[in-house]
Amino acid sequence: MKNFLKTIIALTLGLSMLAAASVYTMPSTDKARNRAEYAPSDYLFEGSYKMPRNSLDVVFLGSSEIYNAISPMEMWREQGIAGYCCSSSGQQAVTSYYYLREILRRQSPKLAVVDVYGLYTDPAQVSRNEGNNRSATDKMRFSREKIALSRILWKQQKDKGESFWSYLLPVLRFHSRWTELKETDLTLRQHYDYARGYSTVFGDTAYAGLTEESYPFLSQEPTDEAAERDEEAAGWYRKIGELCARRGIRLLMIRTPCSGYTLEDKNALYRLAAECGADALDFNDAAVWAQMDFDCTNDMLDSVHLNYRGAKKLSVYLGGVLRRDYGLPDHRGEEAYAFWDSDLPLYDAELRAWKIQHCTTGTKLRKLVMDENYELLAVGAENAEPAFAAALGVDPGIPSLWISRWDGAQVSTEYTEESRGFFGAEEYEINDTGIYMHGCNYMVGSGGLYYVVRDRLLGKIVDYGTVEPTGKIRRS
Amino acid sequence: MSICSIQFLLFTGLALLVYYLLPARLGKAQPYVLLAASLAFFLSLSPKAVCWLLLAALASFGFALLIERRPRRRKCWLVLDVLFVLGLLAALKYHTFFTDLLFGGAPSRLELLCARYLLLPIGVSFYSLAALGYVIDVYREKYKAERNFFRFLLFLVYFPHILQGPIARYDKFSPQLEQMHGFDWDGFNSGLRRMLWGYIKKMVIADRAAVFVGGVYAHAAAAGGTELFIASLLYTVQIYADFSGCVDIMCGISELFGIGLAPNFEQPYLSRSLGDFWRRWHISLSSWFRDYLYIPLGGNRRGRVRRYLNVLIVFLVSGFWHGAGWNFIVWGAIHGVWQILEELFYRNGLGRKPGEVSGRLAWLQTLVTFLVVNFAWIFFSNDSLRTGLKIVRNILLRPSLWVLGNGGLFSFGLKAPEMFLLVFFIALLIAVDVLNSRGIRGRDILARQPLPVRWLLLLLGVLAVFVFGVYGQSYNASSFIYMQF
Repeated sequence: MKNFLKTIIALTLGLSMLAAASVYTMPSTDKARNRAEYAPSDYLFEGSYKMPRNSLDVVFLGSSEIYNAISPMEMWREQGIAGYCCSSSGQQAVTSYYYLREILRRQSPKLAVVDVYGLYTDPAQVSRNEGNNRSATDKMRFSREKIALSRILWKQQKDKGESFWSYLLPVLRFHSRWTELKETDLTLRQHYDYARGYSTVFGDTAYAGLTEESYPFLSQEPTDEAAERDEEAAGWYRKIGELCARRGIRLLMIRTPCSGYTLEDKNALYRLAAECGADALDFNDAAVWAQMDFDCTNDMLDSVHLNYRGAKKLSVYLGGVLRRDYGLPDHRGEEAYAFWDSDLPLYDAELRAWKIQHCTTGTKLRKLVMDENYELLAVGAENAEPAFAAALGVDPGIPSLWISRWDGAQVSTEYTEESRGFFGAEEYEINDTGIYMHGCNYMVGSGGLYYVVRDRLLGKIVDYGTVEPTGKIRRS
Repeated sequence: MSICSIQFLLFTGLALLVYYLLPARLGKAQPYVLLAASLAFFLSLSPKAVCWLLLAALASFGFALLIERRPRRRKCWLVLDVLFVLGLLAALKYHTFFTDLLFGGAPSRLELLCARYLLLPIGVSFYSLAALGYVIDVYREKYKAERNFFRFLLFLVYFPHILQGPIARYDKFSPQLEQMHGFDWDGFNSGLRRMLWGYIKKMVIADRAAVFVGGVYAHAAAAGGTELFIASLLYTVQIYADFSGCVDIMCGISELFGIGLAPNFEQPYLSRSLGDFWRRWHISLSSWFRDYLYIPLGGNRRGRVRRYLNVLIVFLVSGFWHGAGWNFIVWGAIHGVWQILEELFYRNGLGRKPGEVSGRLAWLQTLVTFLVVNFAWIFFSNDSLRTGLKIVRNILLRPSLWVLGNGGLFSFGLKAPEMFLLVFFIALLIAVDVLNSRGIRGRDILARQPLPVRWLLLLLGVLAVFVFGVYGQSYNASSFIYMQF
């Protein structure tokens, strides 16, 4: 008996150690640096575990088309609805099903909203790659759902040499990263998401290539035909319907705006919803667009994803539908939901950070960061864009280290000869090869004004790069 | 199913569960559990290879029985068995070599046919020798022929020794199957520790060294002498860590089943002469050649010249056994010739024999032996004699020490931290071998430590394998070097 106990303890210790090794060798979610090391930088599901139990009224499931289109914080701001995007890049129907099961272990939402991206044949096949599988499963907690989902995703991919066990113990996949582990792998991990699973890659940038002709359904003759669908995916959506029915959850199937969408696609969505006992709401609809003031040429960031402007419109519109047709409650003012209010400024700060990260010129950057929210570390003003240097009060003749701070009224810039010091809470060291903080090098390119922007509210670095002599920003 | 996979560990765990959970009245069924597990393992590696294994087993089992039951033609049965088993080995392993030798140039029809049907089955070199040894022993009336075919089959296919040995002897192996093996906690722990050390040697040392060696040897013609020399040193470490690591893993597993396997290594790189080296390296193979080839050739009983000739023959055959290529034959020849030179050197009073010296001179002998072994591995590790010669030429003619300081060494697949890690574990390997050579076993030292220290070290060992081991998609983890022989 004693030996048996010893074995159990040894096994438990060993597995715990390997689980810890998995956590630290896994590529970190490093929104601050906004650099995806392996998988897309959106291990978004992880944050859902941080929501208090049974506090969510609605969950949104689907691919990047969900996490770019629905911002639960905008719904909170306007309607007081508590929702969460349980999405992942290229999310397949099977992933949506197991995410729903996983979320139901901690939450009891009244409504599930599912984008049926995976229904259509092409996306269903294209999204079957290791990066998507990893970003879907790596940050799920160990559970029956994780095992089952990993098994299915692995079977789709196993001809590519992946090991099923590496989904359960990611150290088996990521162990070789030990040579490149940085302090950020231990510290800058995403545990809590102010944006509730919403993520936008390019802020409110509009995709230039879209016209009304990009949306065939706008000019199509009515038809009863339905688009070809992936039957395996349809089967998983039906299972979502059955699960919702068993748990007394209403189900709404949607399709976010996307170019190339046809009436056949719409018919496929409505047929599927009927099979699943779900409601359907198609955002590829001229009437809906008119109601939500959607501009299909300006509110998209590419052919299938919404930019922030579009996401805000869609979220507010959908929030109205959820309040009106599904009776979801307004929790604003409730003590138990006070943290949603306190998270709003942080969410707004994340939005600003996204804007900063995607502005392309020094002039735009200057306008964005000359704000009391930010501190700026600028190095090597030689050859810097004159206007930017002048605005910072940096003397281009002294190519050395400047730290600029905004005191609410004006920028104060100090020249320092110290190659070590503190930038906010971050200890920095500067030498010929880079600007180093917590083990990472924040110097990009060669020549120009190297900068690092730190958000005071978020307490982290939100952008870094070089303003080149031409005024353009280089980030990689 | 790779030995370095979770599947293999689970497979072993399952086999152990069935093995030990058999009720006492079914104790005699334990060998059958092992046989089933071994066949399943073998099938998972290469289903086709099972046919060849069964053929060799049936032949040797049958001829051994005939030797006993029809003694008047016993020599004939022995010769037939030797011809059959060696013929099988030649057909499976050496067809390319012989067809190249006979026809040369583009592959002939015969060669294509051979390539299609006679893929080198895993373990063939090992079970062929084990089967031959058994029949010869029965012929010599060392023991009785086995009556139970399944027990004999288990002797050949027993999964802890089928891949890389040790080459088993029937009289040592069979008695261990007679008794029921109850679960022994201490033996089990000892086996697990041995496995862990084996995995560290294989996955942390050998496979990491392989990245550098492969990186340098891939550009052997252009590489500088210093890189090539370091690669040759690392290959010497690699093959030892790889082979002895695998043997440790498999012997550890065998200990879990309560079955001991013969030791195959005794700190070979601390040898002071090549003769000494071959008493410590792949012991089961060298003792097999001693008992079944060297002694039948006359050993050292027929004069000095004949003795030298016998040594040379044994090492040429050993080289050919290791691989069907001239580079292996040259490797064997270097070992054979150097041993003859060693003996002439000492016989003529030009130096003191290894057993007679200690201190610095002893270390010098160890160093010289190591360098000769290292030199011979250069031919062994490359796919052709010509490449081996090029490497030797570049080592001698193109040394450049700049590469040690300009970071050039880190451009062959191993980054600086990985190289430092490799050096650390090689130092650990050397320290363990030196301690072992002085009769201090690392496992015993570990066993004497307080429980928390013991567990901490073991868990760190496990962590080292999982984090620092070379496996999975990031690198092409090498398969065990000796599996091809």
